[in-house]
Amino acid sequence: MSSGSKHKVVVSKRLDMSNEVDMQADIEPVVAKSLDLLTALFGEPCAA
Amino acid sequence: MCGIAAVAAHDPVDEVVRQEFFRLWRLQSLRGTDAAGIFAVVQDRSDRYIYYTKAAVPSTSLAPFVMRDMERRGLRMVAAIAHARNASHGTPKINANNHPIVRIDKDMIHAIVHNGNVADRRCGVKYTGTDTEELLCAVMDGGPTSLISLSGTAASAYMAVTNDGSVNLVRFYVGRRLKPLEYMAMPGAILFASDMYSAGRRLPDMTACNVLTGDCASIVPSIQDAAIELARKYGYKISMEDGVPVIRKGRDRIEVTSYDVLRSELKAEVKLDVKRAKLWELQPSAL
Repeated sequence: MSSGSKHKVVVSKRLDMSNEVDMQADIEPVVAKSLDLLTALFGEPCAA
Repeated sequence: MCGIAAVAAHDPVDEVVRQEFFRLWRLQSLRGTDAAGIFAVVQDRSDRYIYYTKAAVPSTSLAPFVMRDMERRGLRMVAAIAHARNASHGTPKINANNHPIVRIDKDMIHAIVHNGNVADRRCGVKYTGTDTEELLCAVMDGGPTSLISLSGTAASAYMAVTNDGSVNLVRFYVGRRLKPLEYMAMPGAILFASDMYSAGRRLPDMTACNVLTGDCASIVPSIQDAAIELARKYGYKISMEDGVPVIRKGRDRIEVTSYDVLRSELKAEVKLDVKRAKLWELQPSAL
């Protein structure tokens, strides 16, 4: 990269892993035998 | 521009097919990174379940997460539709707007993923800010050709399962109206994606299929073919923008998204016919 470049390239092997760690906390897939309307709409379990 | 990926089988898919599906879903992030989602029929040792999740993250993050989550839960995939979103209608911050778009009627759960823009209105009541929900309302009440009969552009995959606890896959349709959609037959399964990056065969334009039987219907000439033929006949320049023909008529730029555009803009007569073909056989797997 030339010294005058304004662009910075990030190369990381940890990106996917760190994303997944965050997602495990934030995303709860629905595994069910039937769906109600709110779960169908939002794709995540809805609190009663 | 969005990307879709899908897989259909009668039995749980083998490891090669499973890896290929998740690879294709990840690749669709090249077509959109605003959100991703999946609606699938999965199976453990004895029962079938719905597996459904979507979020405002790219498919490069969600696909590997879902793959490992299914492994952790001991779930094997039978059929799935998945999406990588580049949001046009409805903010991705509201998860209801992300794909799959899912609706329930008294008997079934209906799910769709879509790339394109639909202009028609088909829903009496809407739950999302998306045009895709209009396409879902149309296909819930119609057959596979509903996926290609609305004004606009659409590459879509739709599935319906029973909502009585039995989780039977009763419908699986795909359709392509201008936007790209490719397919690839593998042992015991058929895979679809907006772009397979040289691995797949492109579904003909203006074609809708019942995936479970392989029966497809194509409207001929397709919008693409009719546009190319008429542009050549009248000496207009034509280019393709993600499957959509764009004709340059003097200073005018005409996006040909329907036969009516050709009729009104070029004063051309277009005679249509329907061609039917069986494009694949979905055999039970050897598992």
